[in-house]
Amino acid sequence: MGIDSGTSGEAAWREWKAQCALDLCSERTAAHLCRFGQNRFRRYVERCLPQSGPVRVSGDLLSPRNAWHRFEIHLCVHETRAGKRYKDWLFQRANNMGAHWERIVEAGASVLMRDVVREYLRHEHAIPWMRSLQEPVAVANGAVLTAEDLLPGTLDPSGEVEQKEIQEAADRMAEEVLAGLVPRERVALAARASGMPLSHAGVLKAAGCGKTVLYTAYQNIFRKIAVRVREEAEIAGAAEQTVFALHVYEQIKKMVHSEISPEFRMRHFSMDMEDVSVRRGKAGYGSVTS
Amino acid sequence: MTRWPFIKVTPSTPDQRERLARWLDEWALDRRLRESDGGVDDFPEPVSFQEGKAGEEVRPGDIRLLYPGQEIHDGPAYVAVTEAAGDLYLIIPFGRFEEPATPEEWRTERDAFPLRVLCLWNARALSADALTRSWRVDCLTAREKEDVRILNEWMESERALPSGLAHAVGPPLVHPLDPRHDYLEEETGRLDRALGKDWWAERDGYPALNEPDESALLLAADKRETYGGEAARYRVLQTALRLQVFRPEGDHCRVRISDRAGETVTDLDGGMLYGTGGTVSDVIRKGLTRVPVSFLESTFWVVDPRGRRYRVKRA
Repeated sequence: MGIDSGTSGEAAWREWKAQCALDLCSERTAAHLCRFGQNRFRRYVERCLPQSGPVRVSGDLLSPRNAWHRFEIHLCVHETRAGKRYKDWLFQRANNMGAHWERIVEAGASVLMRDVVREYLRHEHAIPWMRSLQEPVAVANGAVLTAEDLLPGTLDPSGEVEQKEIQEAADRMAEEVLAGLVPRERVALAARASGMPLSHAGVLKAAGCGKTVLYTAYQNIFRKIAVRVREEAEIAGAAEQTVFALHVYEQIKKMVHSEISPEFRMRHFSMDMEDVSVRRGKAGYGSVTS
Repeated sequence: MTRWPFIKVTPSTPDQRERLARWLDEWALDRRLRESDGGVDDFPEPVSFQEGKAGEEVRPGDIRLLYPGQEIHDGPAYVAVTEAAGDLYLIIPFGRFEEPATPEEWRTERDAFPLRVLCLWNARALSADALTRSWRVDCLTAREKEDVRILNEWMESERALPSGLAHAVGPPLVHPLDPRHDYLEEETGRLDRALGKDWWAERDGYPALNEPDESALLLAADKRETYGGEAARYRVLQTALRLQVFRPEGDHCRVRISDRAGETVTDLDGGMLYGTGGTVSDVIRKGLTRVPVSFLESTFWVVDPRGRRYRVKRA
């Protein structure tokens, strides 16, 4: 990528690596790298910010020097050679590869610049399209959730009788929902219950579809549960309905989990559902990974 | 008529919801920026790759930057080296984001962007040889080491996190549609690639639900060894596996890895048991291994062939 046709891009990168800082490089090298930095910085910023209206980025902030300066300090752990090892990382990959040295360095630098821009935008701009707690988190297939939906709260500790009733109600509904799941949905749930990524080739093969379709199938499961809870369960309150729906979901996962052939389960380190329940019992700090 | 129970919910705290909102914002921004990369810096033609040579000696307490892997679009992977046991080191990766995603991610007090969040859930055990393919960039402070120890102990227990650390971890993850599940999946894959491991790609045979796996070779052996009688039994958390520990024979105890039905399984072959007392087991072979007698007096973990760590709980 020779922005300045009179300068070897590779030579510029190598000089920067040898000199440790842009200010110690020749003017030609500095100009080349600053233009690279500015191009990348501007491209990423403009993807996220509108360039008209009240939110604009001033010319100074996108100046070549400013963009490169942010790049240099972003990954610096501290002001010693050890603290700037990201440069070794950047160049070692290019050295390890067999060809395209400059392109590989620039690809790595672009990845780093993306993180620089993310931090810049988070701290110095209110992005118009970023959400508040009540705004929807975009979820496919018509299911729309807010951040508050994702954290509905925890079941209030209650007596043994009440807990038994909740469990029985969840079991009943889980059986009904499970009976209505299509095979693809069951595969998605089994994969998640087994700790396998939905994108895995084996999971996709078992489901007989691509990744996007399988993710949609997985999202469908909770949507079916949520609809049934809303329509059939005499439970007041959105948070209460969500918490109960989560109970039903966990029950269905256990049921599917038990249907997986022992061979499949043993090979792929299935989730132990009892552990999931224990983790969720930690007040405020339960963490469930599915 | 169906009787519906009365359900009462304790709402999540404003602080938890605020932390989730901040993480979701960072995630959304990251997604948007990645989408904008489409088509640029692609490398359609295959390139050869040679690994880097070994670097500096590894010490517990190091913060290290792993040598780059083959994936062009992965950023640098920084890890904290927390413990050593025999030839294995326990490493905890730092995250890509500034906001911790879950309660098992901890926001450090460092200003340096790459070292802001420690992802304890993604801890691995690596050999010294593998870990020398990295650069030392800094060291954990005494305070950080202590905080990591407290967090590790908390993850093993059912106690509440000390308030001093509680505000610095992420919010609970409870909803199946929470995008943090995708994030966890991505970060697992990213560290796998950085370590040169593609765990799932190495597995073969994916039987569909309820269909017999005729290619499965794992459960052929159902001989139940006794070795002088069982001394203890453990569950391997987050798996369906069990550890059966037999009474000592001299200085060592034999350990058998089994499924819930008690059948020996070989899924952990190549892995090890790793103790906080600085001891390790023999390499697991054919579902069996051996540990020093003192092993059982300390906290220990199972380390699978990928280096992934699993906690155990006395059954």
